[in-house]
Amino acid sequence: MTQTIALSASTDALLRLLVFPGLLFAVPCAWFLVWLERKAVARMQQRIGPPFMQPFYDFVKLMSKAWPRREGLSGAIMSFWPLLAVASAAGAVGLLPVLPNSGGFAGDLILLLALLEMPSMCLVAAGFSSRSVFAEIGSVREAILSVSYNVVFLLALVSIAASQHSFRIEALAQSSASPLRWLGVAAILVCLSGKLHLNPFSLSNAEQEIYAGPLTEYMGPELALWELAHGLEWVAATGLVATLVVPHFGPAWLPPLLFVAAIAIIVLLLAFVAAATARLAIDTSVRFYSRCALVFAAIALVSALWIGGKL
Amino acid sequence: MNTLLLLIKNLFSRPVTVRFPAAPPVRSGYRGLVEYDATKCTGCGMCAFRCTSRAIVFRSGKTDFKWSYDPAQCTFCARCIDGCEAGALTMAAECPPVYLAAGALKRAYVTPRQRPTPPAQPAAPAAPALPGTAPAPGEAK
Repeated sequence: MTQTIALSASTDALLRLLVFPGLLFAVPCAWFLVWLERKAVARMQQRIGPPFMQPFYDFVKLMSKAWPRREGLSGAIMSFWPLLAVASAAGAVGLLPVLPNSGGFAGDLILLLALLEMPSMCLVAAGFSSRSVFAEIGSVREAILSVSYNVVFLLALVSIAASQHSFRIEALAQSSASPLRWLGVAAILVCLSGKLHLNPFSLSNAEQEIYAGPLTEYMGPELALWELAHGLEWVAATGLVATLVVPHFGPAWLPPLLFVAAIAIIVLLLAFVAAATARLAIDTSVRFYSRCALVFAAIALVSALWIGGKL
Repeated sequence: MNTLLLLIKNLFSRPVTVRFPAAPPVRSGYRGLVEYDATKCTGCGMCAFRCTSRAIVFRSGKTDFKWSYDPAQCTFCARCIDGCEAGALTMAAECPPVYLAAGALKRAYVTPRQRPTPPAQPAAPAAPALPGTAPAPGEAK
């Protein structure tokens, strides 16, 4: 009986990782979001933008190229980072409760945050592994920026989770939105620009200064995997916000549609900010996030004290 | 605020770029592909001499000369056009076509060298009459 339950749970986890909302759903969704962001920015700049299938074509084209030959341990490590980034981002998407009553476990929000942060850490490590001066500068920028926005990101999520007495994502998705949650969601949205390397926090891959940043030395299928990981990051990060904003109701087919609609709206919002702003320098970016962090740290602290009954 | 209004306006207005394979309209004086007129070329090779990107290659032989042009290397600077005194080179007033194979637009012409036509001989000046010589027939006395 116990074995059957364990088997069922592992099958369920595998299905969530590989089928829905995992890779089978998340990969086309990632390409759609990447296209939507590029198209929206292009239209706001009065350009026609890429065709709908362009992210897919880009992926296929890169995958069809030869794998770069890398020798020695450093080469193997360099090839390992994009695989880890894709696996982590896919795992993060698999944890999202797109369907109502989709399971989950206590503390899965913490796992989601860890998995969501892995692609960024892989990017930093990849930049240093490649030993290119442009990649190293990009990695340093990404690392500094990551520390800056993660303070705000984590405090905002802690404040939301603490207000609902739970670190389970589905519990947060099913609970009603309070004013504190909307503050937290606003803080998370501010962090998403940094997390997804969008203007004004796109300095880690500032193409006019340091080419592709940490990915300067990557090409072919490895670069395709990085692009895929980035697309999956889009789904996971915007999906987390959609989970917190869109309540589960109606028939079973409605929540996935609402989920996709919500992440599309979030992507449009981020594209609008990206098109309207220029790239900030590293010190300005850090200063911006540290000021936000102070506000939301106070909110999170008040929330935690409230739950502890000390107010 | 002006930026936000501009973005919203752009979002609902027609894009200024076009989707491939459509090409944007060109204006007069547009520098397209270099076109060669073999009937006018004198084979001086000045175009190849002036071509800094080595898109034009000129090979001179005794009986003919070969003129070749690779648009992939051309920077469309029009220095060859400016240097062609015979007017054998012009530039197409349309966007260069898209090609999928390397060297697909490369062109070469072999033109037989024409025997230069001798310039018309000017009439020889009349030799001054030496003292004691008979004047030429018809010469006025």
